[in-house]
Amino acid sequence: MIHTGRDADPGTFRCGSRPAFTFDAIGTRWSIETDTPLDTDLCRQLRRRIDDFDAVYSRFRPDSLISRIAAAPVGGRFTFPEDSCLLFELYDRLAVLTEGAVDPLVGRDLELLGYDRTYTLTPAPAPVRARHARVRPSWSTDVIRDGALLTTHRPLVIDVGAAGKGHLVDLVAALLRDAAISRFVVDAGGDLRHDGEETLRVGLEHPLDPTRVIGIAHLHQQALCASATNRRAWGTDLHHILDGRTGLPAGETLATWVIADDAAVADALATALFFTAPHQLATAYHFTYVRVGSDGRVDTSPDFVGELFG
Amino acid sequence: MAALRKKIATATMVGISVTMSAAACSATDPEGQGAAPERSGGVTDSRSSLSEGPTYENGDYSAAGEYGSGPSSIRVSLTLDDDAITSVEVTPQATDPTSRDFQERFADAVPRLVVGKVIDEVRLDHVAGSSLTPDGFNAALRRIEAEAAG
Repeated sequence: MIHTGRDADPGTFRCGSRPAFTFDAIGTRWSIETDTPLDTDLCRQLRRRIDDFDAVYSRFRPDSLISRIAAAPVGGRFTFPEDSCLLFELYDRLAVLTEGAVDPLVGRDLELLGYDRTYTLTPAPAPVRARHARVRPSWSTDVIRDGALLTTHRPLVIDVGAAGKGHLVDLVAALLRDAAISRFVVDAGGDLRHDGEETLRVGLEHPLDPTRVIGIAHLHQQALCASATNRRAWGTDLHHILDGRTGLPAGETLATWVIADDAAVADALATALFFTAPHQLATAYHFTYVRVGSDGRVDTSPDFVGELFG
Repeated sequence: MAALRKKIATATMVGISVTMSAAACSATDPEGQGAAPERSGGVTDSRSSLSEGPTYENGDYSAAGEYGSGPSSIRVSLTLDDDAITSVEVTPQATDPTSRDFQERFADAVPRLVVGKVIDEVRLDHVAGSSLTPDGFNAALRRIEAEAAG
């Protein structure tokens, strides 16, 4: 594995009300809270797990498997790690549920809009984007999947932004459980997974003002993931949540929060709610949600556990 | 930019941080600073804290508030009558397209967006939202904002 050095931060322990192992990785702040400080070996194991994930899925690392697929002129056969099956199955189901709106092949559209490896944040010229639109690939037609083996026939830019971080939070949680740690909070930049007896109070950050929260979710032995369009945004009406059918940013929603049993599902549904009615998604998944529309209206599932400050 | 202005007759003040220390425009204040709607940290003000706080002078108030990671500001003007906000006007101040776009949306969002509470006023274990965006993205955004400003 090639270490890029971007995750050189070895991590630190903070001893507040609970010990927390904190570090920066995959471009976000991680905090793993446990009853007692984690031992050094486990810390190293967790960091390695995250780095291994990055080495496979990062669109921003030229050496990643994802980047190799993007660079393959006539495609090829690419073997992913076993855990990818869960992630890909999730994308399979979401492609159907959202009628193609959630699609990992929006990677190329993100690049063309400027959300690329060097963060140009400058859209490609219209003719270039139009050319891509004519041949826009889709997960269901352009990728042949056999378990963890993907076969492609042309360069494809896969972006696992909708569910990847949640999936990684689940993988980290699994490592903690394997180490017989049953009470923890994994917080990857606001994507959370909790286990233990006490209920966690999670503030729902105001989508237009990070000094405020619009409510509190009560999280108990589940995962909570958030999605919002206002911060990772650039240009006119550009942000990172794209409709796979059009390659254009979602327009109707400002922010979503989803609570589900695992973080991959919560993460994916938080994105899916930008495109698809909650009742549609509820045909396949158990979850609760809070959603802020671009008109400022807030709606929640009736069984959302927490409070909203109205 | 009159088209961007939204005049809302509502008693709801949206959840943003607005510094109002020098805000009284037309109201006179016989008590000196006593009635100034300023709270510690210079952060006001939801409807709830207005109604719980001291009695305010009736009148029109106006203030500029900053939000977000960049130098984005909005101007909020409101009218107080018997400690209730009877009108709110939000005017986007941004000049660059990104901020202006979001401020327009923000101005649209005023009437119905939940008020929210200042994070320090609520007991929380964690916060979930969008402020923790990838480091590289934020750095790039700052670079572009700097270019736009220059």
